[in-house]
Amino acid sequence: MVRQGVCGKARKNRLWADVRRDKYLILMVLPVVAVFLIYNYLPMLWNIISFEKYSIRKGIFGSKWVGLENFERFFSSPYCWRVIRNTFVISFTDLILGWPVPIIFALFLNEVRNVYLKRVIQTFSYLPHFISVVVVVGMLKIFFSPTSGVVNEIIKKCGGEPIPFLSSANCFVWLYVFSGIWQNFGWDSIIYFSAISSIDPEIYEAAVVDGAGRWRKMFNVTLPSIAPTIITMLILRVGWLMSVGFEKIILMYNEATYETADVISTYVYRVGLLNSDFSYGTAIGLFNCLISLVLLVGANAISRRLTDTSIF
Amino acid sequence: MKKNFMTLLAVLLCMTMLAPVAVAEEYGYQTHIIGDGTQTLSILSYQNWDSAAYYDSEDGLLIENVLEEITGVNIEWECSGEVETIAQTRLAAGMNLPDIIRVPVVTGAVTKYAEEGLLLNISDYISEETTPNILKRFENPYIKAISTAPDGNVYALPYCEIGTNDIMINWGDIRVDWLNNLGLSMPTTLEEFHDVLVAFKEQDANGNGDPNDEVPLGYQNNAMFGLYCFKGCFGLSYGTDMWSVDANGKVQLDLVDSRLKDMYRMLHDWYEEGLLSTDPTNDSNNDLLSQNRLGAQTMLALDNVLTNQGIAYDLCNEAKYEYYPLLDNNGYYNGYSVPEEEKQLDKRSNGYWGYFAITTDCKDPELAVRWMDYVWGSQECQDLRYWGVEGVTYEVVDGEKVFFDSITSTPKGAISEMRALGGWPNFVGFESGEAFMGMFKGQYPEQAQKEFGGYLRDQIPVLLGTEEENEIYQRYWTDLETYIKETTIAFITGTKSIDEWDNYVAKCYEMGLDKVLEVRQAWWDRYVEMK
Repeated sequence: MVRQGVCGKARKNRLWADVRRDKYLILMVLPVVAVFLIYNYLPMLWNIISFEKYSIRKGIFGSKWVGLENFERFFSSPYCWRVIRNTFVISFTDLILGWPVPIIFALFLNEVRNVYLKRVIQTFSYLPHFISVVVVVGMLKIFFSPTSGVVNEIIKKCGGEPIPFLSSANCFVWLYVFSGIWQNFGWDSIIYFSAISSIDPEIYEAAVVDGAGRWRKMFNVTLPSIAPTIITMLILRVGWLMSVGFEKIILMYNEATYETADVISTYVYRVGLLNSDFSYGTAIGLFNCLISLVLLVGANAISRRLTDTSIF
Repeated sequence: MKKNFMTLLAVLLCMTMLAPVAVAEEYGYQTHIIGDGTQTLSILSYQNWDSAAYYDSEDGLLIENVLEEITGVNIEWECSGEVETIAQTRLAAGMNLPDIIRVPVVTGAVTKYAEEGLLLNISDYISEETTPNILKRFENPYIKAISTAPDGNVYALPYCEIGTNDIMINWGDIRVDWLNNLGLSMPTTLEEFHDVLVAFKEQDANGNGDPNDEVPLGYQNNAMFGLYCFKGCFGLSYGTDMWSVDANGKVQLDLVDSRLKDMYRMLHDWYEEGLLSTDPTNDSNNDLLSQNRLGAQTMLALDNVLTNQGIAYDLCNEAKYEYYPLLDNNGYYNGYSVPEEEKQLDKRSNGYWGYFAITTDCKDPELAVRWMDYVWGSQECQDLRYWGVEGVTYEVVDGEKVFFDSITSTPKGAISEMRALGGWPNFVGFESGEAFMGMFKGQYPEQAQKEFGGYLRDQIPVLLGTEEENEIYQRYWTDLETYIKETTIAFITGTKSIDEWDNYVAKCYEMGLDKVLEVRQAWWDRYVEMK
């Protein structure tokens, strides 16, 4: 207690001294901080308009305050439940199916002895990541077209009836998720490769001495060693859960698949932006962020308790 | 090296100085009628719809250059293909606005931005001296109605398509050469139409040896949802308009009319029989056309019939699309058609496409208003922009304008040729129906016009609503439209049984259909009053 009182001024001086000492470092980090402040923190102020009846001329401080009206409007909308449900269904399917694939891929590719072959496979696996999402959806539409798509041609050759994949509400989630996995598993596996490569070879040697085969090494050495990376990636993915690939859905969905494809962000786009109903759109967006926040904090807490790994 | 560079620079400079020669006077126009050549107006609008000729190019385009010389006002272009987004963002920021802007096409946008004080009240400047041409246009009650906000003021002028809309057919077409290949005649009833589609499906209509590759019926406007245009065969009007007014002057939404229950039942059966394209979007349209596989289409505008024919032509130079007649219906799926003399085909649109307004940031509002008056309102300017320049794009034969062959007989098509010169613009305009027909002289559109022109009826107009009306409309119609579209498609594809019709109608009302109808009713009443 006493110490604190005495040292108040001294601490201030020390802070100033630190700043002077590190002035170039601070100067270097400043642009980054500025970018974050301007593009990530400042816009948060505008969340206020979700409680207002926003008028462009009156601005955020002059517009009429309406409290929770915009939120009430969303919760009484006939589409409220549907877009929330779809957001969760698409995200969880994506998470559950998409999260393990790069891990398994990294584990198995790690066992390939031929370095040349390994590199070729790895390169090919992450190439699709660089294809623009517009092109990916274009490819989906061409391959799965009911009239001239290659998939339906094969089905027809095998004596089946062509399936209108892109206009079937049942197929939407699968198409969305699997095309996403195809596009990203290679890229996502890079972080696991780097985690694997940083494992101390002595551990493997010790395991070999103890008589472990390749399977045992994979499950008892590699997997536990990269577990912190896996958990961190999982927590991050949970944080992204509610921000499902908005552009991709906009490009893929149509009236026939709204039932399973319309998510919160696409709904915000239609009512908020296309209709320039800014307050309403912001309110729904803010609600979406709140769920994300809860999920992220929740996943982090669970992980800290169960595995001792957490990001904050 | 350096010397060469300087020479090149000098030559280039000379060229740019030489390029803009005063041409308007040569063509016999009076110049500098509004400004003295020093004033400038900035315009935010779409880039020219020609892949090679840009409004904002160095030398400009012939027709825009002539326009600048006539008015004596230079245009500072801000062109983009993403005008809607840009205008929306700029208006939302409310700063740094151009003098003349294309108001984003959202219900109620004009009223909203006017309310916000971003758009100039043009009414303050309207008078015989300043705006004789606008006043002349306003003698047409419809034009006045769609230009006037509920408070009685004019804040923006619509890009008028009335001239083209009045002659533009919007109906379905069919491959005439396929009918000939199969020895069938043009269907006149809905049942015959069905039989033709079945024949397209089962036989080798395109003659390529594969009887299974034909897709009998595809879609254009509104994609699969657009199949509702068959409502004409069930006692309503044919075509695009979802709204109608009954004998008592009451506005109704056709798509909840119980007569359509049978139509959806029929369409579902057709879907099951494999007669309809299974793609609910338009994505596969061009593929099917270019692969010579598409038999018929719903809801397409007159110029699209020719465009489609052009696409199919590459593979099959016999390809010929024509509109099929407004199909009669004698009891097919309990349907009945209205008698011949009462048959109505909806016009393509409301006769306008977005609004152009002068912003309150404009430094010289009177100049801008007078510019709008000439460009939007005057006959001379309309002729210049849609017919082009006499002696260059058209000539006058026996008192009638006739396009030169260099415009009409090119593979690019007449509209594209005109656009390359800056004609058929997409900003502040008033389209000319005569010029449109002039481009298609002796071609199919003329024949179609004769055949269908008599049936055309106006759409139920969308007016500039009050703030309250717009809010209600926006709030309820956005969700309702989504619901109606997806339910329509669900009825057709069978993911929803038609037995749920009553639930569907009830749900529409639950979602606020009566409130939307009230607003549409108010618009209609105001329109009737102004008429």
